[in-house]
Amino acid sequence: MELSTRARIRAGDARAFADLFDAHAQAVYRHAVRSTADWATAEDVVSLTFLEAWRLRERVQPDGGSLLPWLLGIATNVLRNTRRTARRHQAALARLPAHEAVPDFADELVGRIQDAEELAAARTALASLRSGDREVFTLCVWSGLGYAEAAEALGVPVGTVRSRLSRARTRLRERAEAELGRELPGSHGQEQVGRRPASRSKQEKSS
Amino acid sequence: MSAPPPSREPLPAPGDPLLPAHRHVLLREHLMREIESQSAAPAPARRRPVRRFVLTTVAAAAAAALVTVLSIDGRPVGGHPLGAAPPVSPGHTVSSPSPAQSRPSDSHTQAVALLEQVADVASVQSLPAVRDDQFVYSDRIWAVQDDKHPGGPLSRPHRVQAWYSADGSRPGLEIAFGQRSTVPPPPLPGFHMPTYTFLASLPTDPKALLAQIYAQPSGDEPRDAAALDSITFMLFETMPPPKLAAGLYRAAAMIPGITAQPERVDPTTGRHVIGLSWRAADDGVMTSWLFDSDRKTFLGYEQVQGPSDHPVEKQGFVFEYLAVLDRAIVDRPGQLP
Repeated sequence: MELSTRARIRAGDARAFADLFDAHAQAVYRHAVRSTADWATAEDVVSLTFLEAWRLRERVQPDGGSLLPWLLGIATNVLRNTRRTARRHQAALARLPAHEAVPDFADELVGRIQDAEELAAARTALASLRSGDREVFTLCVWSGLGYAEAAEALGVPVGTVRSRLSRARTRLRERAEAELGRELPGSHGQEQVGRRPASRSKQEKSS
Repeated sequence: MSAPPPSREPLPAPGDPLLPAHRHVLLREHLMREIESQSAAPAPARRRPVRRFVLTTVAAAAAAALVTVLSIDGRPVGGHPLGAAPPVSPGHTVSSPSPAQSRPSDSHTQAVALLEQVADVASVQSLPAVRDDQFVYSDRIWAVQDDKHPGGPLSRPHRVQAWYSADGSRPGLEIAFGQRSTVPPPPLPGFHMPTYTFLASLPTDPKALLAQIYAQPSGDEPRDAAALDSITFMLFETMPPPKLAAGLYRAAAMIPGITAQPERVDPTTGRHVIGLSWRAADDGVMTSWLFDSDRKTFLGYEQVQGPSDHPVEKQGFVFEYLAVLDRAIVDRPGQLP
């Protein structure tokens, strides 16, 4: 009988981990870049997340859907305590291929330059939130998890996810309005100053 | 179940980051090699959740390839290699309330008295105003368990000079084993990745400070142990302003479980030290803050395996040792005070 993906992950099947990486590394990376605004750190977060997933594999529930919420929950812990987790996997990190100071490919470099300002602005806005609210907001809004999935990822009740998300949105709206008031005295209806059109935001929910 | 449409979000997902295909392949290959090597090894041992210094462990990689006699200012660095134990008494566990703990022990009373003394010393120190564009310099001796190279250079006390951006907005620098490593800015400064600016923004009143520390998510760690870990980071990662250091010592005195160790000579620095320790309830690992017993100033910290039914290593095994010899504010990375 063929074992389920979850059963194979729990059993420490290396092939299942390779498949898991292929399926979700991109989503973990996007979450990490957006949370840190740092591409090199985000690569380390991806590696640490999957090393932690390997270490914690027996904690995977036998039944359930996509493992992305579980991985993003681990990524959240890694982002919370990057240096602590790095300590745990110090030797493995030392064997990581070196970061590229400048990307090899022109497309990638252009993409980073275009993203840099937006990422930095978002990081500043996020810093105004409580850490618990920030985690729920980035998981639900940026990485597209549902309330129940975010609750699973963070190990908190669904009601907590809902209330944190609501508080995060309120806080961010207040902040955005205050900013708008400062930058454009007297003007109304001007939204998302400085943001590029949403059309570039493809594959938001590739999971 | 799902969130409202993105257009109504106050802060839509920024940027369009994509992990390039060739990096994806390299990172997957790395993961598979690590899994393979760990599968071949015995059951994965738990690691202690504390780490300072760079995320990109360039120095560690260099260290592994380097065989040399280490010295500081021409003098060889002595001290216990990791794995050889300084004497420790069992200490108290954190967050496993027992009848013995409800009544403060003599050792806890001593610890509280020492924390009060070091807080008093810290509170009368002064530091000129620090600009956001400056750097915190620290000169440290560090040793850390290196599971892939037991007894290797990293496991022996070695010097690390570090420069961290005061507000975390600029890359920092570390020099170890003659190798220079750039330190990326901390992703989101906070209790576990404190910058000087972050520390300077905190209240110095011990009760208010402890309330903020307790309010942090502690994950699967017990609350008191997580709080002491946070304080450890805030004391050692960069440099707390003196008034905050005093507040942190007084906050620590309010957390149950810290005990004083008998005075001894720290073999690495040759200084007389008193350790204030607490023991993790789950695996018995003891964390000790080391204070210079003559000057009543903070020297460093270490983590040692204490008695436990579920030890990570044999009793007395040293996971990590850190001594901070000097700290100062400078204008740029690489500049000495």
